[in-house]
Amino acid sequence: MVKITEEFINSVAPNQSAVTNGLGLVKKNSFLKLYIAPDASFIMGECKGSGASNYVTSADFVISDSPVFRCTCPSRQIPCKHSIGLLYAYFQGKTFETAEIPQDVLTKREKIEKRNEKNDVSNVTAPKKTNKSALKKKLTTQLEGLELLEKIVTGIVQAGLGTINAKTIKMLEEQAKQLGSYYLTFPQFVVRDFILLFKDHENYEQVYSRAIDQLLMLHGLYRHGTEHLKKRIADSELALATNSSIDEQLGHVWQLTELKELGMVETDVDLVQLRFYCYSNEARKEFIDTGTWINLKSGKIYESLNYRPFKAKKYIREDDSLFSVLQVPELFAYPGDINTRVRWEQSSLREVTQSDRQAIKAYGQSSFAQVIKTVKGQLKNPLADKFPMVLLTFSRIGKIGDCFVAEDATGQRIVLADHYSGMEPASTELLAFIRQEKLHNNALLVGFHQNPDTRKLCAQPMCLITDTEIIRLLF
Amino acid sequence: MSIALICDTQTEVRRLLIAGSELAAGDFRLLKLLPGLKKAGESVPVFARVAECIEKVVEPGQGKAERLLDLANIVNAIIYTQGETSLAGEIQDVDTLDVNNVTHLSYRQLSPIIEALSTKGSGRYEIIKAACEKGTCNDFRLINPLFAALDDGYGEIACLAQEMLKGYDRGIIPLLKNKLDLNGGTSAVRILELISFYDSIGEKILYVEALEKGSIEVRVAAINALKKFPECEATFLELVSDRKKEIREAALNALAHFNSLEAGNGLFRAFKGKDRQISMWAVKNSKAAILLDLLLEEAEQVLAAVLLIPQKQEKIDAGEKLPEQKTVDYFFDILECLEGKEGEAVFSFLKKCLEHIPQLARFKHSSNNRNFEFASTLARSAAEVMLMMESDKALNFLVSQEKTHNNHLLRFSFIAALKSCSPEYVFDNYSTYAVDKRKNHRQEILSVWKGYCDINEEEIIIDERWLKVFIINDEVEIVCRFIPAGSSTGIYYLLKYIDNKKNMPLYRYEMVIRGLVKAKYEKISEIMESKLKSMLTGRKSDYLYHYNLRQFLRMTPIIGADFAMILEKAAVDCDADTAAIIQETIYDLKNSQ
Repeated sequence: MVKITEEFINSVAPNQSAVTNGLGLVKKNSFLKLYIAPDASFIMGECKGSGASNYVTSADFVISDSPVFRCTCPSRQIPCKHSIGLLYAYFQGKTFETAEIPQDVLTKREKIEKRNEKNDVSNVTAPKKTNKSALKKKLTTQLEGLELLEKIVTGIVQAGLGTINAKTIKMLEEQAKQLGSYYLTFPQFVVRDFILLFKDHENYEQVYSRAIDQLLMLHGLYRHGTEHLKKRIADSELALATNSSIDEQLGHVWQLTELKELGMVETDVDLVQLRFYCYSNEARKEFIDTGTWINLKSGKIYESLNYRPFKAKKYIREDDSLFSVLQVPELFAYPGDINTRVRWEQSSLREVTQSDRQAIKAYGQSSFAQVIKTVKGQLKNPLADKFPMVLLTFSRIGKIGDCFVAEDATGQRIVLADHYSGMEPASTELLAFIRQEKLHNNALLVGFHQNPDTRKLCAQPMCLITDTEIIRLLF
Repeated sequence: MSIALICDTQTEVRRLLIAGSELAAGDFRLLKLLPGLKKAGESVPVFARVAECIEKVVEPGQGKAERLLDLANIVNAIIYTQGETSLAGEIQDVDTLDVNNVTHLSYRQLSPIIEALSTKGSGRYEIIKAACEKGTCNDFRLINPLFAALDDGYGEIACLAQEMLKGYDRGIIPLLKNKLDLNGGTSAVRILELISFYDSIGEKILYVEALEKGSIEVRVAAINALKKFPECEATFLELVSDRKKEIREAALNALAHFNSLEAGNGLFRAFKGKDRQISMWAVKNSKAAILLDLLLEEAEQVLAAVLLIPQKQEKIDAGEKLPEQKTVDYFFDILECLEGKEGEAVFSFLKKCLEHIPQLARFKHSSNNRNFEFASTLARSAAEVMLMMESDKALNFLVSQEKTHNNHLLRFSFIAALKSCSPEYVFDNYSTYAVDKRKNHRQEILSVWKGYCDINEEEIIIDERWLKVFIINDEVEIVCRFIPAGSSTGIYYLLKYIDNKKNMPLYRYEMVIRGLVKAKYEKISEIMESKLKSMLTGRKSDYLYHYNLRQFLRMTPIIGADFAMILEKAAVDCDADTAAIIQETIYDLKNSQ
């Protein structure tokens, strides 16, 4: 069995309240019986609950890094507080009686094994067959949808942003709804975001610049999307694009098997998280847990996204900051820009070592001029992520007047400032709480952003890496 | 590349996107930019492309919206590539703080605290308090939210934030100074207090500046910080005549720390003048020798004046506004200021006062707001001040007053006897008053004993014969407090009390149980078990059922961990909620072993 630590429990817990409540169950002595299998691959407990009979909860560590939690309680959270409590009981050294693994668990293990064999993306030999005519039909529908999208955008531009009022907002909401019928979920979210800008602000003058950016993005989606879809329809294989995220932006949900087929997978990767934040996205009606990670092998900066619909927030695991090294046997990378999105199925944890920190620091980009060129190259694309993360190696961080500035060895500077729209919590001022010596010759993870009104490209500091510490300025 | 031209184009495109693409045809502002762009386009092709796009936008015809978007797109792309990145000027080192509060608190742990500190609404205090208790409040990422919370309308949160900021080290001082707004309100006061907490001596210049330029609240805080500096005495002496009452009061309180002629005189002047009320604390707490002399001199004169008040009436009632009442009130204030003062002169004066008991017992204070529970008359007030001297001489004098003026001084004489005489002497001489026919005598004695019930930690040796007196008076509270170990009379009385008062509130029940524990009664567990059973079988629909059960379980540690077994048995037959509550107690009892 994997060594159960508090960080491990935290990493599997769906949210903080499950952790608190699970711990509370142990405190209340709610576990009447605790069992462990002779090979320690399975633990089980009987826990008092609000029902007439006790709940039977278990954690099966047959795959040691990703335990299977089961519980007879009616909660839809997996693992529920009883399972978390069971882990805490084990962590706190409570006495577990040795008992054989129940037969039904053994049967379930077999089933899982068979299913895993079937689904294992690493075992995929033949490409997954797709119903091409159905897919073609879907792509044609999307094309029609893009025409509707362009109609919405040109309608707004024709009338002018100044004419937007409650009536037009209502009409736009109706049109945004229609986009859903054309499998265009991402453009639909962008339109909703656009609408929310005007709904949330009374003074429209403040939002015009951002609204124009979004109009250009929608226009770009129409242009590139139409071109791409036409190309795909003309292609006999209806192949997806691997060099850009256009398919994802048109609503394609990447399957791990597809990524595997396209060779977008890396094996045995060690990741270290450098930043974590959870956005609440009203347009998508979802929480988005975002993590920024560095690959210890290549130094590439990745992004992980975990979407949790508002309605299902209790039942989907809420990600959290992670301070250990995540060892991933297979890392699936999405097509994308500077920070490609990654996913993984299985992982294990290990402590961050001095050499890890030194390696991360060494991956920092020392030429700011080169970084700026790459970032600008991404930002000018209307469809690209407007908040790319880059790890910089700086020779010093200082101040010019009230502005924080990072400087590289050649004297090239980057202005450090919080995101102009406040989408991330403020972090720049926190640099003043870091000891002076750490502001020299270290690495800094920053998120680049350009304010459309001031036309200044700045970078928000996120995480400082020294030989001995990884200091998160945010979470 | 002439970025200015592109910026101008972007401004015009933005204008048209707001106004509507229909107005773009022949737009003269865009047309005005064309020649410049075309010229620049000769050397830089992208300008020519912008010019081309503008021409398409301004020419009449359909599809203007698309053309305008294309133009906006290309202009935006150029702006993004030409975005300003660097900043000219000499780089200075960041004025970093010498703090080292880097922790590995995760998003889930940290964000609720930050939210609680920086938003409004209910339930925030508990989150912050819980974080403090867990020790998850000492992270540098919390510093700014904590500063924001210093101004929170919810006072307790602001106080908690101030306490949390005390958990960082001295390195935080530059930030505190930076955040200090001398014209600010309570948050500025809290910051100044924090600076004084971290460095009470080193920041004198700042305190002086705050005193000179700050808002009233800040000035008061600055005076508090400056009272540690002897050289500031002259400043305080000046400030006692300030226009603002708050400043005068703070200055007077600061002067209480100085043992000089000037400080004493200054305080006495204020006491004699219009600032008597705000100077009383300072006069009472001042150690200036001159002040005591002045106060006693004044006291003698006022005593003489009081004694001259004609005996027209039996008593002057509280609230009655006779011309002499001011003198009486003044004398009350002087006596209050003498509290805690020592020396022969004070004793002599108080003794002199107590020689005039009948006269002084006539006078009460005119204000109902002042708490004179036991010192309701000038005579009793003088006796109380003498009691507080706690010298042998004072106590012996009060003891000697027994039988002399029992109607006025019995209480003070009794307390003095408790403090200075043997338990036997106290019982032999004072117990009779507790069973006296005269109610006021009984009350005087029993009220003293009740006073000891509130101070549990104070050990007092009493004669065991008192127990019967308490039982006669049916004073269960006093019985529980003073019951000796193994007293069968006391145990019998308490068991009977439990039997008779089955519905007594739980806090009284706990008091009786504690009494039985003190008496080393062996069958407390049985009593508690039967109480638990009656509670569990009682009215479960009662909305206070779980609350009362929790209250009851809270007293189980009194009898120890053995009660856990009884609880385990009881929990078996309970519903899940009740069982959970009981299990929690079992866990605590077992872990307390």
